[in-house]
Amino acid sequence: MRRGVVVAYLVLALLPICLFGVEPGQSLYNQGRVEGRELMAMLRGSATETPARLVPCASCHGLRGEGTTEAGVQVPALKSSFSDSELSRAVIDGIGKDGRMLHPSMPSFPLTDQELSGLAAYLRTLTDSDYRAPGLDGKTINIGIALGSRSELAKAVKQAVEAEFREINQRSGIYGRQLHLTPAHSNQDLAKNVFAIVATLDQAGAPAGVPSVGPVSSAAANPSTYTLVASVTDQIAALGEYLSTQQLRRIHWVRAKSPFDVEAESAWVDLTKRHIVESSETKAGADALLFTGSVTDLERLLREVPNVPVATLHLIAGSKVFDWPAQDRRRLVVAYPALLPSQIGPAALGLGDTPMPFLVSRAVGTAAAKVVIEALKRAGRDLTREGFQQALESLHEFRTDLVPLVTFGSRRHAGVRGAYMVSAETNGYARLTDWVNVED
Amino acid sequence: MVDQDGRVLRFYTDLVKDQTVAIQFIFTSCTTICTPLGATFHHLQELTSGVDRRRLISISVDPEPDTPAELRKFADRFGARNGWTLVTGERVDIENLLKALRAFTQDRSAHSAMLLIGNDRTNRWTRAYGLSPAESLRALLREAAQGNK
Repeated sequence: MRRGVVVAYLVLALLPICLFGVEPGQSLYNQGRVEGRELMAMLRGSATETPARLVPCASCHGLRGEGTTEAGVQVPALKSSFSDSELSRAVIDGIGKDGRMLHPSMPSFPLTDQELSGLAAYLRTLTDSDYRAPGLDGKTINIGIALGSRSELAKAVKQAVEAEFREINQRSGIYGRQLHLTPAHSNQDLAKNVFAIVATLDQAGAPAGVPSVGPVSSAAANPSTYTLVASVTDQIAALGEYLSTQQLRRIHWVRAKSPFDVEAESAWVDLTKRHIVESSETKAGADALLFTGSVTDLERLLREVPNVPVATLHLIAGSKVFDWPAQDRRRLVVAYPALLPSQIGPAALGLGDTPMPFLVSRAVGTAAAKVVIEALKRAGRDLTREGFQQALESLHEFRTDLVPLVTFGSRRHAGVRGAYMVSAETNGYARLTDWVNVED
Repeated sequence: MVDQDGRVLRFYTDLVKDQTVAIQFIFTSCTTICTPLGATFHHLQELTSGVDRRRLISISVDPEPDTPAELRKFADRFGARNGWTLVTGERVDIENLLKALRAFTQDRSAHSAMLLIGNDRTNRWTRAYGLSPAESLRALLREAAQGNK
């Protein structure tokens, strides 16, 4: 049992992310991004230059080119097709099809011919009612999963997702479409052929424009990525909130180099700025220590500084803590970003009640599959990627019993925010609190 | 009222009194016109930096979701520095303020793209289109500031 618990804990140390676009016209339309440079837009009204990513086409014309009205400005729908030269006149020169100047709120974008053709091609997909996203036809929805090099773990997660898909397919699928899971090595390999990506452990290179629902513990900047495991920033925010409720308000942050430095810094600045905790200059003057760094440094710190509570992350403490002397181990307050293994019944995964390796990752994978299925149902028969993302963003406190309640929104792609506070006992973690929720 | 750093403030006493100000109306989840409005204020801030008694004010017309943290993100997006204050608060207070400034609308999306430019000392106030070139807004601010002792 012990080993099962340890392995389950270990596998949460999944992560990193990065991003770059593939489908150029779509990246440009949705995010104002082009390959190889920062595109600058000229705001014609105020003669001001601003990065195009702040004013992408979709922000005013809508993800499906539906247009809108705001502050007395009527943003037209983009339903009729544009020739390349018409598009060039509108986007670069600010002149409409009818030869009149466009409203000054329409920025001008200095696009190359190639970028313009890419944009024109993407606009045609918006105006063509028969257009279907990649990986989608009348009978199937193709969902990708990248396995990477973590093969045993990834295989276990893939099985978990397959089990969910099989169940829904046996009940005639979603609006008559069967879910098909396509495995590949990397996200880039998947980008062209799948409608969406599920439960991929390593989100590196998750392509912009392809919706992706997965664990990802880092704050994801990619606007089509949705996460189910709390970010490091949120975990540290939850630690701060908890320490403060325990009257441990003067905190000294012991920071050794770690992959979480940027996120930890952002949480710390926020905690001190909002006076949730007070920064103590010295260890001696502190009620508690916050630690980020390596597990070896953590072990040394516990030996060096007796009697003071030390707050840290499960991502740092890992499974080694269980080998440490009780008096050291018990001073730890650990933030845990998902449901604990003890909260996940193997039965909930439909796999009997034998302990199994990769339990937590399987749970997150199954939860990701459930979230994808729910959003596909909500998105309806006329499925588009944009509609699917809107459906994801309508999920409010969605219950999977495999991860904490999931809430997404147009500005909230981290579905799970906060952490459990746990203490490291001989047989695994014990919960000190209910889920400590954090919001901005 | 609260600003982007969570500081509690009184609108007139802390922001407007004795100052020459430009006031705009935004909300942070607005994806259309608020971005050009923010960029315009950024440019105006660059043009007027170092000038004494000038203040730029962005008032949120959607106060509940626009927490100080959201205002801070908006401010950071446009490089807001000292002298550019973003304001939110209780809905009733914000509504009263907007009514007093004749900028209240029931629907947040119908919020005004107008700027209010004025000088508290001389009590000279004018309105301008929020997407006007920053240079002409600077000229209006200068004009408003004239008459200061």
